[in-house]
Amino acid sequence: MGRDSKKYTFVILVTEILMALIAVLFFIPIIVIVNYSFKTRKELYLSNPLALPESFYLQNYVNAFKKLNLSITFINTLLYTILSVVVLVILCGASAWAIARCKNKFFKFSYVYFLIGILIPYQALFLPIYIIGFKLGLTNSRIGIILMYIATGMSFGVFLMRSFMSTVPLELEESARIDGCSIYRTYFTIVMPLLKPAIATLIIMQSFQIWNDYLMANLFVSKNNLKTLTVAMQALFSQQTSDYTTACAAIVISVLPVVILFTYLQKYFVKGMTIGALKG
Amino acid sequence: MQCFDNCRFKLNVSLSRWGLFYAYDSKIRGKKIYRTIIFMPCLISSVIVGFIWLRMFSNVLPSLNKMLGTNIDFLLFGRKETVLTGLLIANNWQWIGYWMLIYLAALQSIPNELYEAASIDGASPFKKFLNVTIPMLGPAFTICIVGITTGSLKVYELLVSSTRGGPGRASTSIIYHIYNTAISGRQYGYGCALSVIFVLVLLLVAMIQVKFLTKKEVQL
Repeated sequence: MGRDSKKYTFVILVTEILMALIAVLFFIPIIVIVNYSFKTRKELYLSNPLALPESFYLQNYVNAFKKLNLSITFINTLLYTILSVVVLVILCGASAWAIARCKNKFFKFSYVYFLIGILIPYQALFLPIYIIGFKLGLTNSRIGIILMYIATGMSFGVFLMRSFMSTVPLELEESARIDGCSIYRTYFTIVMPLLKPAIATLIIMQSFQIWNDYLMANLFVSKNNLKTLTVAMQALFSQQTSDYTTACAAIVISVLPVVILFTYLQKYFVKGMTIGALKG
Repeated sequence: MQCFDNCRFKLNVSLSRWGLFYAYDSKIRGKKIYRTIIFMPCLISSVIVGFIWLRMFSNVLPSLNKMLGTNIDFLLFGRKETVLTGLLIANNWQWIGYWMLIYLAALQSIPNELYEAASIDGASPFKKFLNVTIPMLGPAFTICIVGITTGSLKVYELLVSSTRGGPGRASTSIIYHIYNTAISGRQYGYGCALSVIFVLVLLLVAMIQVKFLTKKEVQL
């Protein structure tokens, strides 16, 4: 950024110290939660929050495992996330392709229609969505909630794919056409592989969002065997008012897969966020 | 309607300007670690963030208080006057990393030649910042301000596990209010009317902001 001198000045030192301080402040809550998840109930009241636990007390994790009903909720959340993201990828790519290639009024209108969905978050419309879902009999069913996730994720997905569509050269499609490719085959064998980076970012963004979603899951699912992880977490939080070591263990359990995924996919994640935001 | 979020998002906007400071000096050591740490909270679900900060304010910080022998009042969620400050801290802890990333990407896309030209013309670092960096960040400002506004207006999940709209109705957000009237209070029609008005307000705010801010952007 226009700085050729690599001198280590006083200003840099001050910035470094400030940054370290801010980072520590940001990290304290996470440390405390991880720390508490290993503490016994007695330690919770007697020792100070930053002291290390006396021993690795794993009973909290066992309790959290049982209370969250983890074997069911984890698989449910995973299922919802994976299925909705897969459908989203196929639908968003296809509709963005259509919008980019067909220049008539209908497609222009539908692009604007999708864009409005970004400006209005689905949380603002949760009530009409819920009522429609209820009347259609989509509440308390796996298909219902997956459909809702797909519908609410579409607008961002189309926007993202549409902004990537300029990287797909038109000549390739034309030559495929000339060679006698059908329109579906052109899409799946020519366009989709070229959209890989966009698809990666879409998958990551949407799966984090669906994994962490609470409002939709809470509205649409009330049966125990269909619940998602966040809904179960909230139920656990409201039970545990005085002894919250189990809740801390539950937090660690639910956040761990996300953090692991993030550290592997950091590059795509950052790219997706910034491209989605800056190209508009 | 309880539009108390308003004051929250304004503060949010000003705080996210930290991003500038943080991203500007890319010479410091270990900046990747800092980025990861500050970004980490935004991977966590808002429900969990609410719970973490509820515990931070009501248990962890007071016991730190006792340990250090200081007497700072940390029970921010307990009183009407301070509850929004507490939620502001929680919300910012979660989202600052995200908006920082957007500023960072915008900063990295500023062409180097502009800085070189400025330094040939004899501009001081502060002048460079004021006259090159800030105008070039125009689009990022627009995105951040619009995004933070709509994001703060739709706050709901954070409240569920922390304050539940209380004490009294001091921290009830619009969505929380709609949820209470419609789902818990079973007044579906009234709830629908509320959400229609809310959508109109959201659109209006976004339009005004986009209009106002894009006027100030600089095109190369």
